[in-house]
Amino acid sequence: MPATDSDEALMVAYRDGDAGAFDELYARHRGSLYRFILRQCSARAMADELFQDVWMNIINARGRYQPKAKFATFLYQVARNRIIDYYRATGRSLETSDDPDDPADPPAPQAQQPERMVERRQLASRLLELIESLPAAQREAFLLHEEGGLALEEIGQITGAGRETVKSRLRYALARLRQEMEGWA
Amino acid sequence: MSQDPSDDRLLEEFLARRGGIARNYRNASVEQPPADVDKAVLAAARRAAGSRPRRIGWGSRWGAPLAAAAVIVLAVAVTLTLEREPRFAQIEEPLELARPTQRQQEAKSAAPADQEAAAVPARTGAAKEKAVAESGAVPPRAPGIKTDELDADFRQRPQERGRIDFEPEIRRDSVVTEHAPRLPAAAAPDMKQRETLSLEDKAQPAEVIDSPAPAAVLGQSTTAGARANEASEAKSELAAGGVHGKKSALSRDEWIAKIERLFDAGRLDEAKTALAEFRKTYPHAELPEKLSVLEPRK
Repeated sequence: MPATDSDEALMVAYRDGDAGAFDELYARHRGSLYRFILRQCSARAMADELFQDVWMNIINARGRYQPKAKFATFLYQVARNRIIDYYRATGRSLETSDDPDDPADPPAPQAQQPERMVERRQLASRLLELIESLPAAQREAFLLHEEGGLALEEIGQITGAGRETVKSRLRYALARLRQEMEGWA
Repeated sequence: MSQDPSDDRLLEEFLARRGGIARNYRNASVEQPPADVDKAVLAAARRAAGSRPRRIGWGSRWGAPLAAAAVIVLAVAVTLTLEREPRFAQIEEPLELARPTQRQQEAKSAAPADQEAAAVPARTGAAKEKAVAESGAVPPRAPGIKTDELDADFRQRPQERGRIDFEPEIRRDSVVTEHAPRLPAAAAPDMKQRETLSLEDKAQPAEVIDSPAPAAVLGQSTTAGARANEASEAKSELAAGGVHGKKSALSRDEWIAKIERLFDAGRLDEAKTALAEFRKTYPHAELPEKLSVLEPRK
């Protein structure tokens, strides 16, 4: 197995013309980024489109790329921005509220689709359903950590929130998931 | 929603990617982008980047510079090493022939020249080294040989010209020490004659190593002092037999007598060893009854 370069090194190599570097970079992040987008979208087709858009933005922005931060932070920032654009286009909002007692955003329509309801008979499916029903800010923080592998500070950098705010969002998200899962079991 | 302390623990587990929620989520998250999307993204990336192949791995990027640096370092190191090594010293003066030791000179002057050439048998390899070391006859190494001195030395010692290990009268089983008596010139025989002499001439032991009294005769001791001599001679003979791996020149009776003396002296191990050697030569010889205990049980 050849020595693995860092994400940043691969992106720099791709910026400098090495197409193979992008292949490896894409392979590393394709699944997690796809699920991050999928959990926040209404339909899989839309998730596919958004997913491809995100990568096209990455490709187009390669000339300006500077390894000042983790590549994952850059990637999920681009993805979040694309999701926000999508929400605005559909009349929805990803605006967050730091008030944990705010009523949860309406669950993503995807969770109510019949084909998805069938798939979620099992515990894991129930969990996914619950995650998708979390408030947007909590769901976003949860997914940025689980799918993006980002730390609290990096999540705060992407979302524009402080570290403690991110921590609070995660705490409430987890508490709600646990409560719902215990009740379901 | 009020904060529960258990929530902090739950958060810690989640951030450490432990706990049931994180584990269940990972088990559930199996979705992957469709293949056509993969193909489209990768194709777009290649178009944007051109057709340059990817340099795979760290080695492909740094391999050539490192290899060049390694070659340069090696070349410099080898050059410096060669520069520091001393050149072979030019021999400005011829080597000096090793000068004879004082003992050799005394021996040369004491014995007739013609007797020395015939009497002194050549030395075997290991025994020669031992004898030379004991006699201190190792010549000092001279820094160089001077040709004229070499010739003079060679001319001065013609009798020693033949005193090398390539004489035809080499005795493989013989050792010459400073203590060994010199045979008369006529007694420079072949192997067979020498064995005969050693069997018949009891004044001359066939092999002597560390022998304090070259004239000692085995089997003739009667006094305590002579016994001590005989014991040491017996020991040296055993050692000689062990070193050279050859048979003693003792007769059968003398051999048995020696074994008996060792047995009577309580030196059972030596007696057994001597008996084992005896049996190699006389496997069926009868032994005195008291020596039967030394025989290995069958």
